[in-house]
Amino acid sequence: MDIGSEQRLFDDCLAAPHPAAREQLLATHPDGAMVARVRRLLALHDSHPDELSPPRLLVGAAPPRRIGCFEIIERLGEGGIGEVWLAEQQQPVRRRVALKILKFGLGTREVLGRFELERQTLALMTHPNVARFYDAGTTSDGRPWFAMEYVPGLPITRFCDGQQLTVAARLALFAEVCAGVQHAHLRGVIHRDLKPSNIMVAALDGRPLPKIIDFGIAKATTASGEDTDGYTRVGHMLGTPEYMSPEQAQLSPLDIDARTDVYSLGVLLYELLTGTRPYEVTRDSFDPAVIARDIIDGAVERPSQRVGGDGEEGAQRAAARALTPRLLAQKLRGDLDWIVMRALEKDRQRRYVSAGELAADLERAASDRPVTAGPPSLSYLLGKFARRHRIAVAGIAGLVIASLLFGSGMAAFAYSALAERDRANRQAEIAQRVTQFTADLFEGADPAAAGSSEVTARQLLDASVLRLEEEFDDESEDVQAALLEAAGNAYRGLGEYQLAQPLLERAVALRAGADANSPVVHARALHSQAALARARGDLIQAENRLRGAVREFARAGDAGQEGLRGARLELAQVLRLRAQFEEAETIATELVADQEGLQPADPGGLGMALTAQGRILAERGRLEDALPKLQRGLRLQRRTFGDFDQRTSEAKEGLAELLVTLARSAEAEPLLREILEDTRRMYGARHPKVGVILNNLGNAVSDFAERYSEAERIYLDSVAVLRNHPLAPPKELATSLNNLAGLYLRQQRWIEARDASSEAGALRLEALGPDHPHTASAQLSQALALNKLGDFDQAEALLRQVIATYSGQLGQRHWQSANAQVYLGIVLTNLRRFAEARSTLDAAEDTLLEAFGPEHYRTQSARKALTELAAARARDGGTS
Amino acid sequence: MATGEVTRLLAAAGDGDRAAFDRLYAAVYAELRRMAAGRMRRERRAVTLQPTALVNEAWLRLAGDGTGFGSRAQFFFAAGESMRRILVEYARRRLAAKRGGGMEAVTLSGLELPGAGGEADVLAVEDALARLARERPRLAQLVTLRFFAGLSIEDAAAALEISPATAKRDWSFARAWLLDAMGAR
Repeated sequence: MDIGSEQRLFDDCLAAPHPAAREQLLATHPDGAMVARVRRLLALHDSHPDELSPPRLLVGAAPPRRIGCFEIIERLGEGGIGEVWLAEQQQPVRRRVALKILKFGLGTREVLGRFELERQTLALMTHPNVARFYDAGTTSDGRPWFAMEYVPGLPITRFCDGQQLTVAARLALFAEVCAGVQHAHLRGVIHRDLKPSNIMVAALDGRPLPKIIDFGIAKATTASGEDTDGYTRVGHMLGTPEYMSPEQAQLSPLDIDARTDVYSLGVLLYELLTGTRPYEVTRDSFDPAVIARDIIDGAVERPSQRVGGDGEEGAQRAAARALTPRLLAQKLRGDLDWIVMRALEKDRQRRYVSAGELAADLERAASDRPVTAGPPSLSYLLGKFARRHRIAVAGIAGLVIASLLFGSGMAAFAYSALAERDRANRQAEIAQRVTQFTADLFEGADPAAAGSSEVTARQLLDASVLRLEEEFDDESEDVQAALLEAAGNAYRGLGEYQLAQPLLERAVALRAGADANSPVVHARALHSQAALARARGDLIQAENRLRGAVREFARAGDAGQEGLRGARLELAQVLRLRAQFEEAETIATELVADQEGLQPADPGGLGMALTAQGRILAERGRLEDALPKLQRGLRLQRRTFGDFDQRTSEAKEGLAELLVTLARSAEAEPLLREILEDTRRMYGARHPKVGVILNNLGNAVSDFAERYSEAERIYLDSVAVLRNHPLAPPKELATSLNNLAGLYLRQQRWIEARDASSEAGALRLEALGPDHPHTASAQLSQALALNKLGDFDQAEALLRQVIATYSGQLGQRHWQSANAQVYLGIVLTNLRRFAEARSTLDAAEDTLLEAFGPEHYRTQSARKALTELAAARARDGGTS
Repeated sequence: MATGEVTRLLAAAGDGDRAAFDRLYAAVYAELRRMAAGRMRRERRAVTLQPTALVNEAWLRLAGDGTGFGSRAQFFFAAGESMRRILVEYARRRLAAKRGGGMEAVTLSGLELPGAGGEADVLAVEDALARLARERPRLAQLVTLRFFAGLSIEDAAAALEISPATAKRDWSFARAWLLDAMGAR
């Protein structure tokens, strides 16, 4: 490339009178490669100020061999303010110390004067996580020095990444750091410069021990702040200014207090969890003014948002925590997000007041107790939401909103009012206020008032919640909590989990503050969080919170009975979804027995328990046992809740799914169409739930060979809905894809079948893990397609995995194991391993006969495979 | 080397005598190096060596004042090259000392150019500058004069016998080119 013509274009661009003229020059130049290079050079030119700072040669003479009572051993490194040497003390005790010798020009007398004030305090600090301070003085040439405990080890971030520590292990180390900082804070010592290079982790007896170094140094070496502004200060931080708090970066800095350290701890926690800092600064583009502005004004992504993205770096950072990016995001979402964000609040009044308080909240999060860190305010969230979604689902009736609020939100209050009679008046007031909130929603439902021909439930809810926020201060804490919970549950019902979560968590935090000692209050909060976790697809967290709720309700005795039944019902359902069928069935069976004996009877509760029990039995393959439970459950729920109700819908779904599995599709189809209609009315046509129902309807329709193309259309609709909704759980998309694959298999469209099933398999592997029956079912479809495409070895490998999974999770004699065995038999026939094929098919036929009887198409397929095996054997007989 | 001898070399180099320039360069290099080392020996504490200050001092020592700019330009070419070489030597030695655990502490700072640490910076500048010298020798000379001999745009332009406006344009381009060559973003 001709560097001369490159410079001519560069010169012309710099000489251009305005940016548009420059752009014109670049855009019209014929040599694209050169334009790209010149653009890069121009960007470098613009971003690097033209200051001629010639290189300076700093030459340090060898230090004296002794300083004070310390014998110098070797140089450890050099920092912004000086050099660090390893030295040895001989008297009165023999020990190694880190000796920090400051540079000249830092105002020796001032430094030592300031340090003298702190010296006594520093000497008093004795904590395993704080490096001991030993002594200070001046060298013979007048430089100040400090001697402190020598901590061989790595900066905490490098240590964690090097060891690939899990999030839990990182949090454990961080808790120790907080303990050290808290120790200092209690003695009035603020660090002021907490950052990874000041927190070294050394192994002590094989256990990692973090130690904070340099306490007191920053205060001694920083001028009092009147003579420098924030930009200068940021500029003078030679290490990493990203750990500096907003109050330190401000133009007229405030006094520093413990909350400054809390902020820096927040940055550290952010980095430990995500592998990135809230504001990234590259050395190349280091501009103190920009950093200071970011620290003071910049918005910070929540940790879970930061790690969620794709890309190689994200994958590496997640891998350093032994997770995938998605799982890491899931782990950080919720408590950890809010705790980090609270520590990073710009306004220090909203931060934790001490490192101890920060540590305590982390401890609460670890033990599933509600954390005190609240999410940002409602209006902030709604503002963000409004920007994100310009299009809303239109046409939801006021009736639905009422059902949402009373169905979910109010139910919680109904039982709380019953359970705590001594607070009946209070509860009545709360209930009345929540009813008012609902009434306000109706008022907003007047399209004219809302200024549009159509009003969506979302718009109504958003408007009401905003109004709520305005009037909030006038309400007592438990009314606030109740309203937040009602609104949160309403959002959850609409599938807006990200909006629901902060509202519910804020409710939990308020309740925890108002009534921390009541187990019922605590249990209800846990139940609420569990429902949200389940809706979001985080079944493990849902299970943990529900176990907590069950424990707390049980602790409450009589007052907790009703809540206990509700939490156990939910737990049974979550366990079913997690394929923990044995425990799920035990709980559901006990619940049904419990409900049958209840005086006065609770038909709705009994119906829900029966539905849960029936669905578990169906999953376990006991289809005939499941049917009467589901039929009776639905009858009871229709009678209690009405035809059009979320809970009734769930019972309809359970029964319909079973009918489809039993190949009684003619009975299932009208039920499914009813559910589809309910769901569209309730949530709008684009809601993930609609995708799920469409899938089930597709299953029913696809049982009729003459309606395959109708079934394909339905599945494709389902896939489209689930693909396009940002919050649709991936496992639902996997289900639709897998069923679509099954349909393609039946139509002998092998390549389409292989592609759909392998996408389904990959999604399930990530969402559910390798040992889940649903993962196996996608692998099964894939194996069938591969068999047809001639890849028998891969097909066999997949099928053996499938059978292992089914046998392990569902038992040897489950029809799904048998079904997979039939296909393995076919693949083995193709591989001409006839004896193996025969024994496999015989076993499969046995099981299928028992499960479905001789006429069912699955039993027939086993017979057909046996016939084909015999034929293949006969063909081969002559030659082998 | 006597002051008169340097003056004679400056004049000869100015007339294009290559051998004269080489001898001048050797003299200037030796003087600058001696000054830098002496300063380090003398001071028992850390010192900051400013190339500009050293170069000016060397000028006064070697040539005295009162010579015309034409001659001085030759001196600054020699001084810039020398300073660059001295800095590179220190940086290399420092890197080696780091690996070998030596005690001498030499740091370069103040480079507005990217890189991991001071020493790497100097060496990276050196590499990039060598590449630039192959493609556009005049730009490399300009950088050396500005950077290592501390000349202003106007003085550097006069030394290179180009207009200040051209020097300014060259400087902008060379700076961006070096930043790019050193992997800046």
